[in-house]
Amino acid sequence: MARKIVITSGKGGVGKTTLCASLGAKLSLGGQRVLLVDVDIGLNNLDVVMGVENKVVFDLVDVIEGRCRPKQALIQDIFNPTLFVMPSVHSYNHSVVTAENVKMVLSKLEDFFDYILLDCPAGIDAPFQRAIYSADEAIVVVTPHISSLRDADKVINLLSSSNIKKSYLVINRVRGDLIMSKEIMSVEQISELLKIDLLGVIPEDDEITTSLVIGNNMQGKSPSSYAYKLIAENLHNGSQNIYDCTCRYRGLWGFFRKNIRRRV
Amino acid sequence: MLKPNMIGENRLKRVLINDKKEFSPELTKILKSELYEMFDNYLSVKRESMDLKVVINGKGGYDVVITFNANYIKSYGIVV
Repeated sequence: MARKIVITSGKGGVGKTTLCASLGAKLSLGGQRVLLVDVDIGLNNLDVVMGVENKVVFDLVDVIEGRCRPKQALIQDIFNPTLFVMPSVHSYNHSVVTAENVKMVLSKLEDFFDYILLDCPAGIDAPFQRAIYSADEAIVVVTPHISSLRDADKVINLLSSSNIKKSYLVINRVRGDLIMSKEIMSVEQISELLKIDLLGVIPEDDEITTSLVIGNNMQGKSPSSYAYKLIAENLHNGSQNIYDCTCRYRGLWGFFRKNIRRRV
Repeated sequence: MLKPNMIGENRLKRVLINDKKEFSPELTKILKSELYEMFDNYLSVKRESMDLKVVINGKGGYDVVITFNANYIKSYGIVV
């Protein structure tokens, strides 16, 4: 039976969909059977991030309305044969998508996968409640900004009073040079204030932007790709290897890299 | 002069504490009622004397203080 994990944040634009796609890719590279479900109906982007937008025939709404079987709405990833996506491109009819309906669809698929990752919409209203209803675990994504951390704290409180059994924190877009010069809060400061287990840290990386344009799910060997790999390993094995964003800015080359970055 | 990371941490602490301070009168009423039911199993509690205070502590959590008067402890015989 699959582990059902919802990827949420509270604030929009922190990297939920990117984490969902990249984490799915890294888990499947490790031999896991992974399904990504876009529960962000209306503002769906998982199909675009995964680079499968031209392959969509049926989606989650079609399954719920009985126009196709659940397996017919799955799209196999181009790079990883054990990674599948269930998109939600038909944004015109939200009313049929209830929490119970989503849970029913997932229950028909959970025996075929090791992981089901749910891409949750931003906010804490009904769509958020609908997304977390089917999940057993949650990953809360934040950026090191006060607005993002404040929203995440509210989400963590809501998750603790829901059916979610375990919640993890992922800090995205961390700049190691700013942590070293003490201009932003450190990873330790953030995880201590939010009182939630840290699953991983992803550095600010131009490679992510390029990867999103191409739609190749972080297949390269960039620092962020390695950070996603560590997150996948931590999630699967229960290890606690956190990417050190400051490592690139230590030593002589780090000194130059830090100063060049600040001046450019 | 504080470094920006410490200023950020202090601001975030303040914001998180402020967000949590809304403890509604309805919730207080429900809590008092349920606590009364529980304490009344063991003590003869004066209901009107019961007071419940929820105070935010410096760590972002809550300190809950319950005070009430009781006339006597209820007898349960010999506990084996």
